[in-house]
Formats: sequence, structure tokens, C-alpha cells
Amino acid sequence: MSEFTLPANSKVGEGRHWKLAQPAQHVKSFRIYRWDPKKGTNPAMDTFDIDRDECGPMVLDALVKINDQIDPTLSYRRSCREGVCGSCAMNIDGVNTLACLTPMDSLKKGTSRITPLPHLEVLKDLVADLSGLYAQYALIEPWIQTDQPPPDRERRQSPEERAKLDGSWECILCFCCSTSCPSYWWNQDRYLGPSILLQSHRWLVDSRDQHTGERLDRLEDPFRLYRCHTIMNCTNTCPKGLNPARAISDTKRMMTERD
Amino acid sequence: MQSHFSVFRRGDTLKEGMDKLTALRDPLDQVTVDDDSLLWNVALVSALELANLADQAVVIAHSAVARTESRGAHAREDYHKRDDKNWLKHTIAWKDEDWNVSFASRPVHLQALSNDVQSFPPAERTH
Repeated sequence: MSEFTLPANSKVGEGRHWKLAQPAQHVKSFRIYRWDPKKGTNPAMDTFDIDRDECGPMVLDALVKINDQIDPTLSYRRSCREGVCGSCAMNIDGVNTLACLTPMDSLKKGTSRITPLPHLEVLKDLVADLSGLYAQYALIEPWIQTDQPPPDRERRQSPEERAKLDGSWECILCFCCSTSCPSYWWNQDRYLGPSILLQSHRWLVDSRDQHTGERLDRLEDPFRLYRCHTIMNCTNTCPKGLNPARAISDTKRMMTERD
Repeated sequence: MQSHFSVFRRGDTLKEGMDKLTALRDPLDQVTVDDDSLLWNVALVSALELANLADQAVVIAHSAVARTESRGAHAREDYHKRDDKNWLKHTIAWKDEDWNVSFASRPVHLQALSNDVQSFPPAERTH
């Protein structure tokens, strides 16, 4: 029998409202998903009021301020604060993106909602378990593979060959795309998802890599590649402006052309 | 660190920065962590990072004051020239609990590890 409601211990309740101590002119409120496995209670949405005049411009600045000055138990990933590490990927007002690249000015008026990346297991608060994604990344063997011994000097590429890697190497593995893909939500145990397929494509089109055939063999499976139904959520959501959907369709083209 | 110990340095501003930095010793001893979770404790990570930053800052500051020459990204406006006679060496620094720093030095490897290229003596940069 189908179950159309969340199990009782997964229902998200209303959490605490952390109000400002002093009234402020420019206030922004965030409803943030909180769950601590050690507490044994249901997840809850806490509300935090932020004085915009005492805070940096980005959503990550607000999270840092909350952790620093309001509730130090709030957990989230962060590292570079400038969109090159991909740590602070989360769902902000329904869109998977990087908190460090999202200005608070770009959010809708009123209260904004922050939850972890969807359809992954949550470790705590905004921290999702990425180990499945990392295992899939390992599966595509993301390193150069050749049959000859390494040459004495660099492996050279023409500018045209190098240009084929543009749009792939910029990926920072934040997994905003994979966790926005309904097909990945449904089959994340077998479908590789847009982020990993984009990386897989990066090695398929690399002129220096000689194991293109083996790489395509690995994707020859009803699930790993072909669960992409061109929903395009991945391309819509990518905070780096990349196009995983195009890389996937190009991989499918390579697959048919070799048959 | 950015305003007093950046690339371009001068004795008096280094001293000023050193005073400001040393004033942080006791406050840093009072740092507390208000989250006792063993899972993704961001406050604890920040505190550990802060302690490491403080160690690095103190050692960098003392080394900058001690090195009375200009070399690469250490440009002293009061010691414009590179001084290979006294300073062609690596600084090794030890910091104790009270933030006292002591120094030793290690020679610079001037010989290449293979015979593929000839070693050449250090010369003044003129470009």
C-alpha cells in the first residue's frame, strides 16, 4: 500500500523563534530546518530574525552571524565563502544554490526558508550526507587513463581540444543539480545524476584520455545514464551557470554513435 | 595581520601591529565554545581555526620583525636591500605558552637534487 504522508517521526514541527534583542530598521527573517539526531525529537523549523544593518550581504553571512551570535549549535557546511568550494549548497526558498553566492537582496520579501539539499539523508541541521554522491563520483574513475607509459613532457592539446572541457571543469561538485533532479530523487541508488554525468562527460571528451570505450561501457545500463528525462532542473539550478543536461545528451549521442 | 604584516612592512608599523596582536593573548585564553555537540560542531571548528590562526600570526609577526632585510614577499621599507650575507637562511621559530618566540635557522638548499640542471649562485633581482 502506498503511503502518502510522512512517517510520524519525520513530520517537521514549528521550532523556536529567536527574536532580535533590540528593534532594528532592516530585519530579515529565516526559517531554518533544525534536526539533531542525538536529541531524538522531530525536525523543526526555527525562525531567526537578522538585523541587516549588522550583517554582511549574503545568505552565508546570515548563517555565520546566527552561528556566531544567536545559536552556536546551528550546523552547516562552509569553507571558501566565494563560490569556489561548493560546501554551502542548500535549498534557499525552494531553490538549490550556494548560500555564499546568494545575496539577501535577491530573496523574496518577508521570511525565507532554508533547508538542506533535498532527498539526501540529513546528518544534522543543514548538513546532508553526500557519501552516496562521492561513491558515484569514484565509480566514473575521474582521472586520466591511458595505455602508454607517461610521456617525458606534458600531454599537449590544441585550443579546440581544450575548449571541449569548458563548461565541465568549472563544476565544483556542490551537488545542487543532482539533488534538484526528480529522476535522481527517485533512483539515486542506481542513476548517476547530473553532477556525476557532467564529470563523466568531462573525461569522455578529453583528447588525452584513451579509455573512452571503457567509460561508455560503464554507463551502458538502463539506470546509470538513461534515467535522464531532460527535466532540465539541473541546468536551471546550477549556481555556476553550467549545463549538465547538455553533457548528458552529448553522452547519449556518443553512446548511439558507437553502436 | 593585513594592515600591519602584509607584503610592505616598516619597523614602526610592525611594532604597532605587534602591540595590537599581543593584546589579544589574554582575551584568546578566554574563548569558550557554547555547543557541546560531537556532530558537525561549527562553533568548535571555528574555535580550533582561531587558535591555529593565532599561533601562525604570532610566529609570522615575530619573524617579520627579526628579519632586517627585504626578500620576496617580505619588503621592509626600512631595509630595502636583500642581505644574503646575514639572511640567506630559513627562519625556524618556536612559540611558547606565553607567546614568547625564539628563533633558529636552517640553511637554504642551493644545490639541485639532480644533475639535469646546473646550480647557480643567488644573485640580486634586477627586473
